[in-house]
Amino acid sequence: MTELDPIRQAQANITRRNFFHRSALGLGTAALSAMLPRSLRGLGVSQEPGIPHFAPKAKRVIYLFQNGGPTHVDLFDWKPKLKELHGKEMPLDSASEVRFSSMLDGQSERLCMGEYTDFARHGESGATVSGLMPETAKIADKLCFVKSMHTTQVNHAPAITFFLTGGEQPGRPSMGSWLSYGLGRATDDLPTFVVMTSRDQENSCGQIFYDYYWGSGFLPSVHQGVNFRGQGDPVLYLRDPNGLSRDMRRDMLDDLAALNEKRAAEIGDPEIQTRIAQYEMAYRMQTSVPELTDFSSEPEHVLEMYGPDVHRKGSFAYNCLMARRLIERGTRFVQCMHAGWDQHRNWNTQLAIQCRDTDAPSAALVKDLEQRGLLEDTLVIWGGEFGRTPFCQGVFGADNQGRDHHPYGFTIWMAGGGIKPGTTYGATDEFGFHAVENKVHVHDFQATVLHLLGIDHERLTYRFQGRRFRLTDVHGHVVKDILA
Amino acid sequence: MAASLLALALAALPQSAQEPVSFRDEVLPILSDRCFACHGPDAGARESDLRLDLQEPAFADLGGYAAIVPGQPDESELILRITTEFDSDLMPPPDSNLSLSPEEIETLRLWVAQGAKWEKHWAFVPPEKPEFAGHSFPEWTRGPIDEYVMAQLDERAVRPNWDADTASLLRRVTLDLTGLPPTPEEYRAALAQGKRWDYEAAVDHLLASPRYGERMAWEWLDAARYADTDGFQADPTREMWPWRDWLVDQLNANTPFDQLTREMLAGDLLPDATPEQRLGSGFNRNHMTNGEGGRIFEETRVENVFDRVETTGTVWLGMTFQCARCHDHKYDPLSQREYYQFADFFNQTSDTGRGSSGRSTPNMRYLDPEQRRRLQAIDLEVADLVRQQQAPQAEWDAAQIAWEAAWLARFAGESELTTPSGFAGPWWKSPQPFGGPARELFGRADVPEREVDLQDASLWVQATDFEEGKAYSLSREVGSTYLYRELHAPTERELSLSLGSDDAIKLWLNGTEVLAKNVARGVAPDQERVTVTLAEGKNTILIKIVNTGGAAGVYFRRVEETVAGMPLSLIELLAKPAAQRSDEEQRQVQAAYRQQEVPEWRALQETIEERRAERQRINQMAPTALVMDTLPTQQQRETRVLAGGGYDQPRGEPLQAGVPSFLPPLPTAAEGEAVRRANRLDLAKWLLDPAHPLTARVIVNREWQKFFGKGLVATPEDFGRQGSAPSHPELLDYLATQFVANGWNLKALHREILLSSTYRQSVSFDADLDADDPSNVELRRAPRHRLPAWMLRDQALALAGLINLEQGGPGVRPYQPDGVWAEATFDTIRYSQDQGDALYRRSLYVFWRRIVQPTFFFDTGKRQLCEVGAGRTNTPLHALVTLNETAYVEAARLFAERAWRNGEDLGERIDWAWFAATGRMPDADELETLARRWQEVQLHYLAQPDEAEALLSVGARPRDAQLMAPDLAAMTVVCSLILNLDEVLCRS
Repeated sequence: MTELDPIRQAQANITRRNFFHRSALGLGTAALSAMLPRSLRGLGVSQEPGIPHFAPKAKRVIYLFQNGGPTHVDLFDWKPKLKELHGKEMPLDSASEVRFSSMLDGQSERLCMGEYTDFARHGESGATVSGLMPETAKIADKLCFVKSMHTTQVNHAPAITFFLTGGEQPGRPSMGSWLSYGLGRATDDLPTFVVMTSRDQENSCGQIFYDYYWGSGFLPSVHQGVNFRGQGDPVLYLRDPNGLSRDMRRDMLDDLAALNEKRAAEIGDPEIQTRIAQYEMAYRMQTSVPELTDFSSEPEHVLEMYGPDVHRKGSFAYNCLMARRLIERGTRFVQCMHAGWDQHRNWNTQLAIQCRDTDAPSAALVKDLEQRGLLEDTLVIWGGEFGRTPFCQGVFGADNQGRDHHPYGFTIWMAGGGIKPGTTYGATDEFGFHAVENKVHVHDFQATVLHLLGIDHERLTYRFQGRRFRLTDVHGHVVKDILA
Repeated sequence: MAASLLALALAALPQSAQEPVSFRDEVLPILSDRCFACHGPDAGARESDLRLDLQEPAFADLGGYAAIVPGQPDESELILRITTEFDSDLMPPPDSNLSLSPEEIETLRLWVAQGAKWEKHWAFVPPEKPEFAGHSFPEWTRGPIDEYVMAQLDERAVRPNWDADTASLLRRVTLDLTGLPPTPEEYRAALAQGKRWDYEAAVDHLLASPRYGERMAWEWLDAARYADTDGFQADPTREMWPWRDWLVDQLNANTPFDQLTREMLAGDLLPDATPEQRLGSGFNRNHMTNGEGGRIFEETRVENVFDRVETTGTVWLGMTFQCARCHDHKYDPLSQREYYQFADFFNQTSDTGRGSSGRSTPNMRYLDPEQRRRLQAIDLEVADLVRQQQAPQAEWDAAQIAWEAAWLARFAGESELTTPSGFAGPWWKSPQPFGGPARELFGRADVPEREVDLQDASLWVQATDFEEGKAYSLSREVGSTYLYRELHAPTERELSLSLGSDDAIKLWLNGTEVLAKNVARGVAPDQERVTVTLAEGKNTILIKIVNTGGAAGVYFRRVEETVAGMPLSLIELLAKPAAQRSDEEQRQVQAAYRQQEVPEWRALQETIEERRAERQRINQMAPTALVMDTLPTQQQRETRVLAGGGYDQPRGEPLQAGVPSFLPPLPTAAEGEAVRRANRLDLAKWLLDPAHPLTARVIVNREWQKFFGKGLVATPEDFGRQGSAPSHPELLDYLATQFVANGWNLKALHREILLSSTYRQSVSFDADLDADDPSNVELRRAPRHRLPAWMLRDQALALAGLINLEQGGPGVRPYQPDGVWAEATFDTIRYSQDQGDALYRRSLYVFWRRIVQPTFFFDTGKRQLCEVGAGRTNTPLHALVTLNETAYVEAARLFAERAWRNGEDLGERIDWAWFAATGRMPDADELETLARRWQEVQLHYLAQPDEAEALLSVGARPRDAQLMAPDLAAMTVVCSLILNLDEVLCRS
């Protein structure tokens, strides 16, 4: 046996995970945070002075982004008129004048298409929810439906980019990056901004999750969303190489820190301390992520709530439970993106499956947060980049009929953190075509999210290429009526 | 309140006692940042019709008062408005969230008091070679760069560092110029020379290395948004790597930057443009291309034009053009109209906005000079061989006459032998396809394969419109369609057929299958050739076409009939007296004779066919590079302002190509030259005008950034009024003017920077001296920063002795975790990792998929849009890469083997590895730390040999089986540690 000095002997007996409780290298928590540079220092400390601008209602966000454009008139925005005129030309001049995707080129008729299945009113609030969404219906009184959303983009990628970054072209920081930048970190063990993606099992759409949906744009790349993968290790390169044990890694990092410390003392570069901290945080992530993804401690009734898919890595249900576990552990912004709402030609068959896969997990997440007391300061958002046309795309009544993209009026819902529960805000016209009452633009929505987090959207800015940029560009009004 | 107190305090001082306020450096940045959004160049956003970015309106009489009254701050509305106590009058308005600090207010007040001297923004005034200000430390300076740096350090009364030690400097300069670390031998050789080490010679040696161009290319690829795919949904592969290789070659050859600019922006327009010059113009085709379904081509095309405008604006002008796409620029004097005038330069190319699977037009099949020389040689050789084949040859020509006579005699009187066969009856086809699952169709025998009953109208209809030698469309339904025809042959003979099909095809002659090709394709002539033997009398031809999707079609042509080995066409010629034959006919007869009877001719023919096959191979290999071109004058597009940047929102009159009016004008047409629309070559010439205030400054700034981690202007993408002021204005102007005076010589610029004392300084920090300048803007010491991720990977491969220095070619695919591409593309694109030495190619050559970049690089350009900044962050994810990524672990493993072979005992081995990575020997503590780590780990592996083997199996390269696994595995851990030392991750 090689000779070990007494300190090392003692160290070997300390649990290796708890590095920061040891003092062998003088790296107590306080010492560590003191040596971090500004960009890494201080949990929950903003990089922008003055933030929060006022007391926040929400501390965290889970955004259940429904890629593809969920069909508002089939799910939440009940329009009896459509059923009444089912198969008849929509008596609305603007229906043929406004811009649709080029997939509607060559189709001149705009035939009303009634809802997929029956609607009913639910809860004390009497919210209208389709029979396709039974679990969401049960929690209607916890939700706030915004039925007067509208956007300017008619194709997926630009519309999603617009929702998430405030601009339709790639290159701007996404909402999660802004919050990471504005609010700072709440944990050292996990990323502040995490993204997870899933898609419909039928693989009915070819939409791609572009990395600029969670990009940091011109903000420093530490604020970029970390994409937890749906297969293999959730974080790339998280696993130590084969044959190199965790204890060995710990020892190696201790040596590395000692050698780097020595170098720091010699040349005096404060950035070396950043390096030491960076490697420590990597190690902590290595230990905390496996614990994060281990669902064995979850009670059976909780797992059941999310549905059977919760055991399938990379499914929407799995990601919803992961989202809860992440925010419990200090992640600030979780973006679960689920693709498959793009029913141009498979409305007859796929919409019901799509709802089945997403309804229970979304509702379970809200209930799960509530039972843990987390809902009051966690904002949950459910919605896509636009809605779908109230009229039929394709041959009316055919097997492959569907609905096209529709940016002029659609529905999203929000819950928790400062949102008035059991409310319905705004309305579309009698066809569900145009938002007409209390219209909410994408920038208004973004301003409202920031507001709930204690941020004045006009004052969270970053200077780039000579200009102060913000999430809401030069627009946006907080929707005060939906605040609790 | 604080503001007014300070103002009072300062106002109490006599004005003359105060330093003059610089409009350029102090006032303009404040006005620009706080005032121009509403009182600047953007006419659309201007409030109260007040404009503060120009002197005239700012000083104008506004009806008894003026915004600025020189010398009289108390009479100046601007000063009154920024100091008022009434919120309703206060500027900037409180609801703008902008405000002025007391110091800024005082700066403005003082400037007005001192007479409000107006100057142009520094970057819009052409640079002039500045005077030296003089300084206190002549022992330190080696040249002009140091003079300027030292003069500024004098202002803070601090002294810079002396030169770094030899090893540090050698490592720094080698990494900076080649992206690779010095070898241990190079360290030893330099150290052995002690004080006599010739740094200058080392720099010259490195500048001449082929690795230099590879290193210098990286930032250019980020700026050029170079990638190996189109981007967007399908993300198809493109072949722009010849452009990347062209760039490396130009940088290695030190092509002057003015020439490089002309070729990148307008290589296709140069007189007698070489293929390389045309290829160079691909700079502006490196943008993403959106080929998504549902897109409008014109919209994509217009976006491509915007990208070219904005990339060119960033790369050469350091201007943020994108602001002016939708409205006049808020801060810089660039109007929306001028944006679109500039856009006209890039609007006149034949790009249509179609994606075309990575080959969107305009494009070129690029052959490198060696390939072109080879093709030329082949053509010459083939021409010579053909000449030899056709040359008169008395002996052969005499025999040919006899040969001709013999053949004629053979056919004499046998007219049916020479009568061509003919169709009997029309073409028939199935009225509708025989449907079914696509994959079953080809193998399934439908009724016509068993029996052809033309009487059965449900199975056969006439296909009278089917013409021989023309592609014929069939039903688009998925299924099998049959075609049938009868042919009468006077005698037995060979018939060669040419066929085409969409998709699969089978052919039967007289019930015997003679062709079966199961493919999916579009129909074209000559996709298949088949020769059949016709029986005397009736023959039946049955064709089956299997359509598995999309269009369907067939092509059929009789090529030649041959009787007794002689083509009928030739028999006809033989019958013609030699004197009546045309030259071509005579050659045909000659060739037929010589082919049959002259072995020498056949030998020549064999060589000719080999050469032609080689020619075809070379042409087929040629990558399709995207390049620029120019539409013919009559087809040129009208360029107009597009409201809100909308492709379908043209406004106003057609615009001619032009440049922003605050910059010098375009060169006018030379005398006698017709006036014409300015083109990209004019644009390049304009950028290169020595009087241009921006180009040279912007370029030298980015070159400086390569060596110091940040530019003299910290915002390399923005030299406008909102950009950072230069840290060393005189130095920047010196370098810019010198660069132009030296003929835009990049290597000379690099050499001058590298030979300066400023560059050679040590990195040593000094808490006292650095207190006022913690981020080292003044360059009192050499900057110390982490190497870029791509360089870290190359460094690890080099230390391991794994690196493969092959240059150029298509992108390579090194290790990458499973499923990354598949996950990002919904399983449509899978990563297939390369094998063998390709795994160890330099980072520069790694295949770059635009929608999911290589996973092992970080803080690099995303290659989606032009990027010229040097983003550098430290996240835990980066540490995970250098600790755990396969290439790094494998490199540590091979680095360990090298160390093992280079030492007799553990100490020597650690010494060697440490020295190789840092250029210095470890001290006793360092050595002890690592030795103890090795011992502990080795002990562990002795007990757990499986774990040792597992670690030694990471990566493709087999381990040296001669070495003991626990020893080597422990050394691998030590080497991984060394590769992760801050000292090794950072530039020294």
